[in-house]
Amino acid sequence: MGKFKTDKIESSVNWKSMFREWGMIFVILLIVVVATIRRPAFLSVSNLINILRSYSTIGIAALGMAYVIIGGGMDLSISSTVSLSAVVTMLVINGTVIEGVSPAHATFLALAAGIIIGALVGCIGGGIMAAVNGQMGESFIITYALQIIIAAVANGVVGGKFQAAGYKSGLFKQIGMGLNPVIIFLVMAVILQIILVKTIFGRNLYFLGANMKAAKMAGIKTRQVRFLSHVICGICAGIAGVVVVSRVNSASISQGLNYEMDAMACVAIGGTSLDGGSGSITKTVLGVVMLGVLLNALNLLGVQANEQLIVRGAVVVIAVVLDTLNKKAKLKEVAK
Amino acid sequence: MDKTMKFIKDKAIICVLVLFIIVLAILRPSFVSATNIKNVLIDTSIYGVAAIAMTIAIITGAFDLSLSANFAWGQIFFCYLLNAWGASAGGILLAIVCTLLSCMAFGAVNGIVVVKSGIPAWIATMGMNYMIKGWCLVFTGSDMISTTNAAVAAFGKGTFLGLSYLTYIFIFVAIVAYIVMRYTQYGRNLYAIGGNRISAELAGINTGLYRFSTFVILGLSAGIAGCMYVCQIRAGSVLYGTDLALTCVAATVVGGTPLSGGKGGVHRTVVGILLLYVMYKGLGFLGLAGYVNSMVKGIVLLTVVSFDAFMTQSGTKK
Amino acid sequence: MSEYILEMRNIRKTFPGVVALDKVSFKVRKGEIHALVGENGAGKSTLMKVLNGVHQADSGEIFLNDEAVKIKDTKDAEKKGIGLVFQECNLVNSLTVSENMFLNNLRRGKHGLINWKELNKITQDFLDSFKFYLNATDKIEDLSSSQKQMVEIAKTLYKKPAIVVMDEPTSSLTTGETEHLFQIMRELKAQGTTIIYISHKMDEIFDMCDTATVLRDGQVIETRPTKDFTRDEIVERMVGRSVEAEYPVRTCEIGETVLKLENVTRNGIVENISFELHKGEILGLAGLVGSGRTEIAEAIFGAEHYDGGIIEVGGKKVQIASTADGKRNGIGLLTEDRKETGLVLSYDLIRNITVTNLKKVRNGFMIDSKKERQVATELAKELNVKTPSMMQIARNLSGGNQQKVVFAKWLFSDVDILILDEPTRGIDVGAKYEIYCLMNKLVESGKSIIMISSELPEVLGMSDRIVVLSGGKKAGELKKDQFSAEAVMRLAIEN
Repeated sequence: MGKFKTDKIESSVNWKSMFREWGMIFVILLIVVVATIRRPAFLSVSNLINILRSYSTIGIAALGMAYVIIGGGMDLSISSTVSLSAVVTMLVINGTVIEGVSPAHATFLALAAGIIIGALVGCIGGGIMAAVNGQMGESFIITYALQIIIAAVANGVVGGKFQAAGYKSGLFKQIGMGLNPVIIFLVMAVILQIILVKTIFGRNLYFLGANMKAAKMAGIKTRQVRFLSHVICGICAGIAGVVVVSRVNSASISQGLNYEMDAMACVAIGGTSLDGGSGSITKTVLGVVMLGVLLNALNLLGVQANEQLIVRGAVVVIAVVLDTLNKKAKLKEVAK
Repeated sequence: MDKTMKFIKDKAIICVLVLFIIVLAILRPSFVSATNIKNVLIDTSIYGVAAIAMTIAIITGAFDLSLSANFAWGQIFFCYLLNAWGASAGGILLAIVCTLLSCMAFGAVNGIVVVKSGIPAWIATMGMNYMIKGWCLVFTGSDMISTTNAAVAAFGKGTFLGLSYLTYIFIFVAIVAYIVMRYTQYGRNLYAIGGNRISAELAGINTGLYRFSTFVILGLSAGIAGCMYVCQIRAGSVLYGTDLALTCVAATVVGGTPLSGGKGGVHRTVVGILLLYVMYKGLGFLGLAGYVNSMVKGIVLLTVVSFDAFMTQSGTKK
Repeated sequence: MSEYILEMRNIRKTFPGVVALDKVSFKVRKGEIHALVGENGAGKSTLMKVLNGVHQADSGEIFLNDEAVKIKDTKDAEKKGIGLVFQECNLVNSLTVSENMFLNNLRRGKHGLINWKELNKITQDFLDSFKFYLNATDKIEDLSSSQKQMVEIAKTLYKKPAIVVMDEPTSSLTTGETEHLFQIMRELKAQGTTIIYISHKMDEIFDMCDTATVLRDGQVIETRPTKDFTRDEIVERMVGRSVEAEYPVRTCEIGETVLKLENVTRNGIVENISFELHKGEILGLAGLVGSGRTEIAEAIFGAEHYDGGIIEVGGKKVQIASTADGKRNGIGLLTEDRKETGLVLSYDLIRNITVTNLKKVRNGFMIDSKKERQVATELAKELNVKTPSMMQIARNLSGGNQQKVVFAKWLFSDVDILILDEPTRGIDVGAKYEIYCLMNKLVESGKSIIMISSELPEVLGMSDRIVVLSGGKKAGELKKDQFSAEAVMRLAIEN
């Protein structure tokens, strides 16, 4: 014991470990190259901005998801939260038009409604998760159940009807105009990244995800941290709902469809381990860009939405498989 | 004290089931009419077959979320094959076999990914769920697919002693599964793997192969359920049965098989799925809106799993 | 045919970066009880795992009855008549005793199905024949830890192995059960079974074993009949130097009461525990495994909630409902399992040390990374943590250094009362001494320590006072002038 290999002898480039570490990025780069060759417009600035614009709402949701995943949990309820937030925001906006509330107030109300709904759903999920002290497995099913319930609530709120905007312009529309969603996404990312690495809560979240027992034994209030991570995730989903409504100017109960999958994909592709305890917001932003580029490239290559579903599923599985293999290999490298 | 608690916990679920039926019978006497019982049992049977396989997987310590999509694939592919070959009895048989094999193949892919890479089953199977769903949509061109095969329709309508043929399939599957899990080496080894995988490995059990086999069984069950569903509905679509996987998990946990693995049994799941369906159908009978129904489904799942997790948590404290 | 049933020749086994066994040659006579002794990490368990096919040796040969054999896996070892009783519990909790005994080997009756009645009867008959007081149909999860250990033993014996390896089988057994196990061992010996017995307990080795082999740092130091060994000789060979000044002396004033427990109870686990801890004192908490030592510590720290009784800190009654409460009241717990609960192995030393009190390195709302690194580095230096860098992840440190990091972590939190649960478990002798010196330094600086330890000499050597627990109750309290191994043991086995 106590003797370690300090000299890592790397006589040749280890392709296997290279692939495990960078495989995902490698594959995506390949797709980008193919897409660029076939459609040179792909790499244009306007297209890249377009990608960022269309994936910023998924990105906002992914930021919250990253928090929960770093804490060793999972939140599948976000897709319904996005939908619920979207339909309620639309109801608020349409309601205030009739009431004649000033556009500024209406926008504020809509935003507040979205955030509050997100926070509430987060409180429910986080509350249950804190109570059962659960980790991945439990949070998975519990938040899935929550997804079903919240979807039903959203359905109940609007009776399944598609909601179109009552007025076509105004301050509220500004939220989703031009580069605004991207700016919102990036500002939130910066704030959340700072909270994650620079505050005690952030540090405790990492410990919780890495080893819940050790976190508890270090005197961390694990339940509180778990709860907060879900609330933040809910708020992110709520904001995503508001932004998406503003951008597309309508809302339906299927607004958030597949958000949980895409958010998880962004987190996983970025290189945040789904085991918890590692990763970051920065990585997640990278993941959002990569998923956006990937799906956009597939679009340009003529891959249809249905096939893209297959690709999305595969992307998550491959990302997790690579992460797991990578970890195993690293453990083997380290003595013992 | 402990023993009585255990007994109550064991039998409580049956009491709740009986209570439910009594209450419904009083509120809506037609709920216990022969036709309705037959109909409730048909739905129970289709999901029940899948729930039994899910229970086997949960006992072994995994679960399969791609079951929903696999079930949809079973319907779609069976319809497709029936339309192609369904004219003769041999053709129908061949269609069934091919459907089951294709569903088992999806299960096998799950099994290989989970066992070989060691990633959690729920991530692998969730990814797989999207992939199969995508494949179904590609296969059908985002449409539903239907069949007018008379033989299959007749089988779906057929009854024996007042119960649908489909119910007998379920009973048969349940009995076989019970015997396998209780009275064979294979079944007991699955329990051992779910209870303590390391000990199982040390006892010389090829845990990888066993775990792989449960995913194939899951695929098979999705195929059987898919075929049964087609007999009933005479159509297939990805929109049918999206709640299958989670309903099966709920039925398993409600029945008394904890998610932690190594415990419980398929006979419990039979009661569990019955309870869920009496409840769901009962709510439908009371004339509630569709979304209320799905909300209740969610709340039941949420409560049951939370309670299970809470019990496991306080159980490990000692 | 020679008198040796087993010979292992020049066994070498390396794990990445570590040589676990180096040219180990080991012979066992037929029908003897052969003791294998050595410190933690000396290679005993690894050697036995090689014999049992869990590990494959890099080089070397194994002979059974003078016949060279290759042991592929545990199943293969079983077939060749080698049975291993595992140190850690390897039973399936959710299954019954008989199912565990017949794991993967269930007898099939008619129609190829299992006949449970018959199977349970066979199991029960076997259990009764060796006087294991166990019920074949009980579930493992309902058994006590010592009963589980007995099931492990029964499971191995049922296969009628020619060689039985027992890896510290008595560590979770009560005295009565240990005696019972010894009876079984004598009976096995009478039947001609060979036993390889791994233990730390000198009494057991001298009472039970015919021959002893001492291992150190993956090498065989010496093999001799036990009657030709003295205790001191064995210990000397285990540690590689003479064992003097094991426990450093301290000069320390014992002051006022800092912690007082009054009838603290955790339902069904510990009952009416009362004791006091003074400033500058090391209080030993002794008792057998399962006597409630760790459980009471968890209650004091707030890791588990207690159902009744009063805890006073510094003369004031406090409510401790969470680990955060414990910390706020100046209590820290160094858990017995530093790899699982003491550290996050994948995190660097800085993070591991500062987690207990990040407020100290906070500037406004933000953590000041520079200050954090600086403070952690100073602390690590003070405790003599040997590491190439503070950014090293905890997994890469040796056991002793990991333990020092755990100490650093709790020193960083500025708590006054430290509860140490098995502070020297799995640590080599040199590092142990350093830990003892550190403990002395802490109490000299005005802190108080509760030390839980299974190593009796350590408890006697380090404590100012000893509280002995037995079966979840306080069995007694010993002052320094009453200290003796016999006195502690007498209380510990009192029921």
